[in-house]
Amino acid sequence: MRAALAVSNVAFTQAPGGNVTSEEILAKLNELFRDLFDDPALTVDPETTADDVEEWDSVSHISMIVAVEQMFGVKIKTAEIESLKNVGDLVRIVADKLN
Amino acid sequence: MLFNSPVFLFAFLPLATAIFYWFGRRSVSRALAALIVASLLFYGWWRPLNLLLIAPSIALNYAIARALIARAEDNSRSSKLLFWFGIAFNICFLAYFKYTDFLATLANDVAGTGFSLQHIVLPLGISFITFQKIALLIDARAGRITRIGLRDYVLFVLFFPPLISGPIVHYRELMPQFERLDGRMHWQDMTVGATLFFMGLGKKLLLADPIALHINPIWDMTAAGQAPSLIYAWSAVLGFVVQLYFDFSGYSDMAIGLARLFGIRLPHNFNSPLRAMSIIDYWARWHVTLTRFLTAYLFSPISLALTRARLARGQQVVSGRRTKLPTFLILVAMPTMLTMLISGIWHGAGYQFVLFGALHGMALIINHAWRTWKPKPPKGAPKTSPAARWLFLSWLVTIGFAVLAKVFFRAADIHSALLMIKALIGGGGLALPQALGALASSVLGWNVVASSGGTTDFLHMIGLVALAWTIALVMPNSHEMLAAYEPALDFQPIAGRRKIELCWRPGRRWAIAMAALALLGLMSLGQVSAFLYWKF
Amino acid sequence: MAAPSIFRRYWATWLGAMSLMALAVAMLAWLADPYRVLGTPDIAGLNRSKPATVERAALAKAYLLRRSAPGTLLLGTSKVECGLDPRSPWLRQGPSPVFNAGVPGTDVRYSYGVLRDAIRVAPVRRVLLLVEPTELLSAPAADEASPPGPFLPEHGQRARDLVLALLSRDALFDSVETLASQRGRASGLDQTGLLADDFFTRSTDREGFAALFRQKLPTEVATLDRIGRQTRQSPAARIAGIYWTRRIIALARDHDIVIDIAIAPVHADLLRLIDRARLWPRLAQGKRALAEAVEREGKGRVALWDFARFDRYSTEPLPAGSATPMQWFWEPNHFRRSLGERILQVVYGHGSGYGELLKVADVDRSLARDDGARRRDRIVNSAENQRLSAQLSSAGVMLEGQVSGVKFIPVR
Repeated sequence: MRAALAVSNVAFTQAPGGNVTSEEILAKLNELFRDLFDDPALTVDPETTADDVEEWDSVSHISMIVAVEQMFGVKIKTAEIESLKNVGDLVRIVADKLN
Repeated sequence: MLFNSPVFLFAFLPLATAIFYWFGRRSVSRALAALIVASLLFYGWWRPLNLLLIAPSIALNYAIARALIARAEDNSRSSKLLFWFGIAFNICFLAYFKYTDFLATLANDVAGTGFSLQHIVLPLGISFITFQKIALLIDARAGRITRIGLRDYVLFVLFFPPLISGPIVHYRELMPQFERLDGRMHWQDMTVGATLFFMGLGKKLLLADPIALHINPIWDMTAAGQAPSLIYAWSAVLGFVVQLYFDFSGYSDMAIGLARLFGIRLPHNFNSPLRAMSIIDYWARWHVTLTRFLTAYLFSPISLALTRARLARGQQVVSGRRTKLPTFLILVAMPTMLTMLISGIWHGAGYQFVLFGALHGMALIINHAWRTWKPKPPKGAPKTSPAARWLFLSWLVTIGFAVLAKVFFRAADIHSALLMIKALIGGGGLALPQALGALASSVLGWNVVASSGGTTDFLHMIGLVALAWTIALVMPNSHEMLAAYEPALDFQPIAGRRKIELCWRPGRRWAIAMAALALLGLMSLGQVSAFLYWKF
Repeated sequence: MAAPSIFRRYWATWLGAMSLMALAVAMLAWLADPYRVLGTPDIAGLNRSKPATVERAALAKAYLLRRSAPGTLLLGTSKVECGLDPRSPWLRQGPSPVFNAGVPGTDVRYSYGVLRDAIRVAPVRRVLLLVEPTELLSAPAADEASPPGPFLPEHGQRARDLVLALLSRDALFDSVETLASQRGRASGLDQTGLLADDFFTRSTDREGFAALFRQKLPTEVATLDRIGRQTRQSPAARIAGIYWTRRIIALARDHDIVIDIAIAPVHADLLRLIDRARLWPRLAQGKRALAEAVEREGKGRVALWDFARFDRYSTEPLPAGSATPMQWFWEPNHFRRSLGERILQVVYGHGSGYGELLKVADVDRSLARDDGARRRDRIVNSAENQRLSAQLSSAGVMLEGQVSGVKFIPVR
């Protein structure tokens, strides 16, 4: 998970004064997922769940959460993690925190 | 009350549903009150004392939950204390009933004390009820629950379908559904619910119980200090795995089906675990609600907290193949082992359950280690799906391990478990019933000792176990068959090749087939007593 | 999704199919009557053979007894069940019908329960009770005086039995098995309660009598070993079975029932094992105690016969080949009907040359005669004794009396 250690390269810089769109978040998440699961062909959409991605287990879930926090500069609460059912939920939570 | 008893099936259930919908026509809240009364009756049927025992726990948990909701997001010292007091109370409540004897045994073994065993009788379903209450407190504190009434709380704790053996359902999954009920009977709910219920009943009465009848004496042998012979040992072990699967998944199906009769969807609990390709996959399919509970409330918080702490200190975290061993040990191995040890001891109070948990913890750690450090194809190389023989091998390793670990789950104690394992590799010799033994001797030249069991019984046992394994591995599971009607929450059929496609539809052929299944199940409720014969 | 009417139709089909299938199952079960609970008439070629009654003797006999309302009752264990034929000519003179109420794995207390319940539903006037020799060796259980449970089912239980005999999964499978097994010899219990020979011939036809003897050896050794430990711990222990024998005699007396008691015959192998386990004196003690109890309670009007002796029937040698049948025994614990006929002839037909009438006045002489027969057996039948020793060592068992320590290896 090179993203976690090279935050400056991939960190999301929010355009000043603008609202972040879900599509932008989703695009960044796709980059993160490709890196995390080492699969350049991987594409996730709002409906994707853990069952759809091989090797998305409890351990990589933690890594993913932390990477998202690093990338977008947000903090996700433990309680919110539990409610994440698919990528769409993740996008929504990040969008809520950024806007 | 048990689901598979005449008083439940012919009296309680029809009355409860009839009364529920009769009230529901005019007022949903009265119907829910009737449901609470029915659940109280269901819980207290065997021993009314059970109700008295859990009443204080319910009252206390309700008070704490309300207080936590009032102070949600409030990180003050007092609300933290209140929260941890609630958690501690629930754990101690469970521990008193379930673990007093085990703790006494532990103390005796370790410190040489002389505590005597109390043999306290457990209130029904206390392990499940405790976990559900703990989950509720955690959700209350985190603000996931915004309001709670006494009737809602009592309904949540006592709702009878998942009451005794799960699935472990969260308040925030259940309450919104109750609030959306319209009190009218929906034929689709009744049909899907009844179908799933009788599938579960069939699994338990037609597969699990007959297998248990055959293999229990073999397990009893190990408890008496004797190693069974080879084929009997393998039958007992393989039989137990499939017996437990059909028993537990059958019971879960019954619970989910029953809830659906009232228009409620419970989360699924099993998804063909015997087809799992890795131990991680296995736990994602076996007792799913327990895995999700332990992951969400134990593993993830610990691992996340540790990861964030390390990041804050600038230390390494898990990062693919470059993860260092100490990082892996602290962030993955330790939380995993802790979670599995707790899972083990939750299942039963004994050394062998601790060992069972530790074994699975070890296996999960190895699995995660493999995923972290396994050689990956170079970037840009085409992604090919692995060859069939590798898939078969990973299945074999997974299922082989799960089967072996179950020996510790079933055996009376560690000594018996080791005896059974010894028997699996031939430590108890080889014996066959008279006729087969003679055949083996003459045809294969084996030196076979005559066992005292009959040939018919032996063939029945082997046949049943083989049939059960075939069904588990080849046929779609009950939720897959009913997938079009979404019997449970969060259920995703496993993607990939399935040999047999079977989809339930409300048509005549399925009606007749399900009628046969239901009738066979109902007919299996009572046994014509057979007397032990020729014993002098 | 689909319209509610589709689901309503589904329910109608579902319930209708279940009812029809249940009806079909019940009819099949009624036709086959696998446990003889329902009383369906016997039709040769259709349902006369009842293999499922073998393991459910108590259930079948409770309902058979009620239906046959017997005048004569044969009481005892599996020995009686397969060895005493109610249709024997020696029983024709007395009260009829005759019913074989032997239930496997029971004791005198159980037989008391059978008689007590039978009296309520049948005009019982005559009883023959066979007592197990091993019951005269054992010490009584701690709860010996507690009365036996009901043998005939009460109303609630009868309803339950009816439903289960018609509509349980066991009944379905057993009905199919019953209807399918009508070819060949009859098996199971017939309407008089007698167990068909098929139970043994299944094994002896295939493996021979000697094999059956060999197979039963470990079980008998285990029983004697258990009794040996029990009695060695408290040598002056009372004898089991005495108390309830007196109760049965009293019950018969209160209801004007003529009762005869006999100690059931066993093959000499078992007597030799008892001897080797050093339990022979205790057997003699038990017989003496029984004679005294019978005389006191029966006031001299009840006869006690001893058939558990060394005589030309019990010492029948094992056949050499596996094709040769034995005449008097199936295996050490179960005598054939031919020997049962001899018993009935002695008890009811004034036959002689078999068994001894035990009276308190000359019981010691009688036992001494048998003791002499035992010692003669060691010399006269030395080949048989050696054969027994060889079988014991090849089965890997030893008796406590023979060497110190017992090794009983149950194999599964």
